[in-house]
Amino acid sequence: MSESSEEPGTSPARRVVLLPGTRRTGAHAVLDTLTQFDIATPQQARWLATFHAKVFERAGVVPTDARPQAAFLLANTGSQPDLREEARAWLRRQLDVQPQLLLHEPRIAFLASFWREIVISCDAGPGFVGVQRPPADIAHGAQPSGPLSDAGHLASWLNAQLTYERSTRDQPRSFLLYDDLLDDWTGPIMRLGQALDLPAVLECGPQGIRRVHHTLAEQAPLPTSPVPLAESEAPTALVDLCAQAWAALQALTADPADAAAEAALDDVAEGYRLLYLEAEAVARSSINAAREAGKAFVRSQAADAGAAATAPAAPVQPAVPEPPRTTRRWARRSRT
Amino acid sequence: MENLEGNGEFAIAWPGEAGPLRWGRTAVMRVRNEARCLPWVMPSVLAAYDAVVLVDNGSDDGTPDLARKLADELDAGDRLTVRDYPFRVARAGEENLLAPARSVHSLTWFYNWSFAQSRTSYSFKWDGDMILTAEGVRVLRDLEWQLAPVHAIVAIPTHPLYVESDSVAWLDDGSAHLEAYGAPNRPEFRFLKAFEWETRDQPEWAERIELPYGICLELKFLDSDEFSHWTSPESFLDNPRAVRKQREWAIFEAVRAGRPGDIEGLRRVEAPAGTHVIQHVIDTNRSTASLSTTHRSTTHRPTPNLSTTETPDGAPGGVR
Repeated sequence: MSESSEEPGTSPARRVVLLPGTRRTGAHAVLDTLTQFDIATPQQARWLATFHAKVFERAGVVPTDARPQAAFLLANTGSQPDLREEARAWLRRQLDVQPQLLLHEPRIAFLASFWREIVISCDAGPGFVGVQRPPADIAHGAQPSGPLSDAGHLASWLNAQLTYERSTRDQPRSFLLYDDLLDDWTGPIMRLGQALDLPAVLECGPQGIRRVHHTLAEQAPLPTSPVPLAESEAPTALVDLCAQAWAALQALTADPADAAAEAALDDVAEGYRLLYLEAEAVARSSINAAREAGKAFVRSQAADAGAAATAPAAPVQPAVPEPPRTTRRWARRSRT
Repeated sequence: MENLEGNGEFAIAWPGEAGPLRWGRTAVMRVRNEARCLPWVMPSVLAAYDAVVLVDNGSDDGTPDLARKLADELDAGDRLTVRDYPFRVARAGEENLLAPARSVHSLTWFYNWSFAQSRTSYSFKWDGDMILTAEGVRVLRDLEWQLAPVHAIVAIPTHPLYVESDSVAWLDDGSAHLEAYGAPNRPEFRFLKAFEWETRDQPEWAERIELPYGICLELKFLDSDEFSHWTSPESFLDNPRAVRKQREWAIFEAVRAGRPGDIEGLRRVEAPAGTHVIQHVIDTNRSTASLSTTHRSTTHRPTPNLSTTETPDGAPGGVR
């Protein structure tokens, strides 16, 4: 159940469903389904993307960010009062018009904790949805392509999945497999409606059900990768982590609070954090070269603008100590 | 590290040197006579953190036993560690200035010894009067995983809640104290001696996160002496580093004199019948921008003014 404070029978349930994912993840299938059930999307459709772009820009994070610390950077930015107030005011206006609302935008994967608090502060209940496809299928056809491009795409997918799963734990949530939706959407969508306590789904009539059938039937299935994940040219360690994550995410579609799956994802997160640290250390020369190129760019811009002859130097990155290599386990206890 | 007194029992082994740290966040509470606050403090601190170390410094009101009892009632007794620190600790102000940092009587030694009792990768200074709202508990829980890839200072804005009775309190929306409460549990983040109090070291390479305003409150009971941990009021009334204490003093004076309207930003809170005002605030207060938009810059650094105080040198708290 949500933490909404509404009194049953006195007002419609205020629910906000949050749905991350791009078209390649199959999120549009859920979007198209839920909107057939009178769950509205925002009236100002562009606002959400524009707002998220602003948050990400302030945080110095990009939507496909594979850095494990991306969530930390966004959490810090998300604490800024002007952003919270802007989001709160916008959401209040939307809920005044439509008490059951669906927010769909890819960057929600990194902002679930932020939106949880905004939704609760608007006296509504948040619900989180994740649509799953095999990582190889999502990486397939992604841009840019080229030698070893799979590594970057898989890392982005893994980081977003780990962040979204971890940040929605203990919240009403539902994970669905895209293929299951196409096969028989009724079971996954009913489970979603129950998990998120969505009256629009739970109380829908036959017209809505017929509309969903027609909508999904008209959709062309997403392409699948001809190369299985195990044969990806990405580093073996990364492929292994993606395979483990994919197995755990599939388990969560049956039980969104599956403790074994959550523990497995915690282990994957720790493995990915260490792998990323090692990759950064190996690529130190590339990082330094990019930094120097950035400095040169700043200097050239300053010169072009007729500013000072020597532009201020970019801050030198201080040496970061070797992080502790203690094995970490997430706390997995029930809390009150 | 040995202390000046040569007391081996209270020597300090820096966190990590005495054994591997496990991942997690510990709230380190240094307390004296906080029995009145603990029924409000312990539920939120045990809900928000993985572990709690409570170091008692001479309580005579049953604080340690009450902490254990409350933790057991919350089925969290295994996450609470209680230690006794038997030395008289210098009060903030001149006494601190005169106490050598390596003496067991200094705030600095007291803090470092207390934090050395933690066995998790992050430790948080937590005063015996600090409570979290429901939102605050969730935000602190998020840090459990958000901090994993970084070495970060965690700054938390706190707002004083002046409790007048079971049903009435005054929430200081007009000021917030932003302090670096959390940090990696490593020697680079140990406490150093400052003028009036201690300060936690912050290496330049450390990242920083600031949590939202309005989620953490400090309980001040208007019928109690909330300034006894200072050498004297003169220690802070003319002290440019103690603006926060000066405002607290002014609020105490104004409310007790029946002139709360003299204080800008002071909000009266009255709980519904049957609900204690502290619980009412815990349940209902939410992060707001009423203070923040006025007193906090969008560069994400606090605006230096009389109402929002950040004390990079730390601030006295804990033992009251």
